Amino acid sequence: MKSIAVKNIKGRPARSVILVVISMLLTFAIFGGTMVISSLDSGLSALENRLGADIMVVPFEATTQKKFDDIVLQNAPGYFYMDNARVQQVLEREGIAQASEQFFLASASASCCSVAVQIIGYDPETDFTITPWIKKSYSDSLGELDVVVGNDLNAFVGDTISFYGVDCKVAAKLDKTGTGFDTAVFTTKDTIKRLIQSSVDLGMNIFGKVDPENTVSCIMINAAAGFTPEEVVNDINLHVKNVKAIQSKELISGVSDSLGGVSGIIRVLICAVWILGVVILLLAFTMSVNERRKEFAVLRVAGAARSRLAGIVLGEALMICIIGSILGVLLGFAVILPFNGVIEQALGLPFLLPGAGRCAGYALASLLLCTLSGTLAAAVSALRISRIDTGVILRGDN
Amino acid sequence: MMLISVFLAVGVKVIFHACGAKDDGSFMHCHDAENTVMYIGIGMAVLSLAGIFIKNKAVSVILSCLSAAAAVAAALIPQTIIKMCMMDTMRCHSVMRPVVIVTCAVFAVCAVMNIILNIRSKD
Repeated sequence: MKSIAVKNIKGRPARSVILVVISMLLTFAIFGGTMVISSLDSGLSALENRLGADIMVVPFEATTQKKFDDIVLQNAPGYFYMDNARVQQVLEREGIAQASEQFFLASASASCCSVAVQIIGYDPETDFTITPWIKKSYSDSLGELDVVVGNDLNAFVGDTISFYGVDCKVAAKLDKTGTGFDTAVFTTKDTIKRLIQSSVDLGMNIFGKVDPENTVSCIMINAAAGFTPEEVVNDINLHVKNVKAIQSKELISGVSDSLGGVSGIIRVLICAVWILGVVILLLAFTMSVNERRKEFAVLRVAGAARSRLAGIVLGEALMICIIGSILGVLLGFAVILPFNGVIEQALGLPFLLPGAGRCAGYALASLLLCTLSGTLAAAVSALRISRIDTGVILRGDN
Repeated sequence: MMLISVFLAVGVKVIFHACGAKDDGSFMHCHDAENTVMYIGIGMAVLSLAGIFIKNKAVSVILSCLSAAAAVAAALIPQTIIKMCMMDTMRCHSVMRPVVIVTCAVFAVCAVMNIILNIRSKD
């Protein structure tokens, strides 16, 4: 019976190839779509974790910059500063449990490339947003002129990177987050103050004569127990002039909405492709079995049981669907893994590929789902062929 | 194989090229990788062309082996042999490298299949 199914597949190569291709596209759509949706979800979670604070306080003039959202969310190179007097006023407000200052600076084009890199400075003594993340890759504390680089930067531990004529040593490389943080450089406040001073000395700082000892780019704040982030934000915005307090969830709501829209469209497309694929397979198997009704009638007359006839059809469908599904999963890997950077840039959203275990899980689930769908589509034809009236078919009365 | 190698040689300069020139007109490291892949692609095309006309089985197998080795070398040029730009988000990393690797992988598979078919053929 198995050999009859194999012979049927080999005997009609064109039909078999078409069915394998349909099955492959069905699996590719389901596997690829699931991988993209999962990567977008992981990217959003990574972005939420990286922001890591309830509230961000920035100088008011920064929020009027065109690319403000890109700077704080996507780490697009850019910077702004406020003086320590404003910082003190913010820190005196009620409802603040944790607060830590951060410093931004965009590098000039690196020697190798015409791109600027965003440098983020933090205070190791008070920081609660960046340190926990860095600790996963680097357990020691950063020394003077040590930097930690994001995963997408082509620099490795021990390398030296030069910013504004100051040579910095790469102490660690961070895990991938799928966000703009992957292209940033992190360092302590002492090092970034030196870099800011150097940029001022070289006349390359867009703010001219900014004093690094008396400036901060933003303050990350966690609300104290008994206060909601909204209350703290309103209090700061009401009582401290020339600053803007923003809730983190407000910052990422735009990204979250876009992501929800893209994920929704992909889910609809997956469903549409799946339904279309199953219908095409159903029609293809029905037509294929109808063409061979006489062959099956002869087999029945030769003594093949009804279950055997159904088995031949199901075996054929199973083999075609397994081959197609494996090819579909391989195609999915060949497209999603190497081209994830292009997909991320095209979508303009945080995009973090799932780990190897989850990828394998999705691949297996897609393979099983598509094989099952194809085989079930063939089961309808198998059931019909097992009930054929051999006499009528052989007389040609059908 | 001929078509794939021509696609690699032409495509790496026209379709999936590396990053553009800097503001001062100079090129980044990835430009060297792009040129090297193009030259290897031309070499692969010449080998494939020779394979079409040469009927001797042994020579054909040797040509296919050379083609496969050239494809592996071309795949390793971006980043592994010639370091590329600063960020993985730049065009040379996100577009040129993956397309070169996938194209070379397809070419290498074809070359290996050609070797197997040549060895198994009776004449």
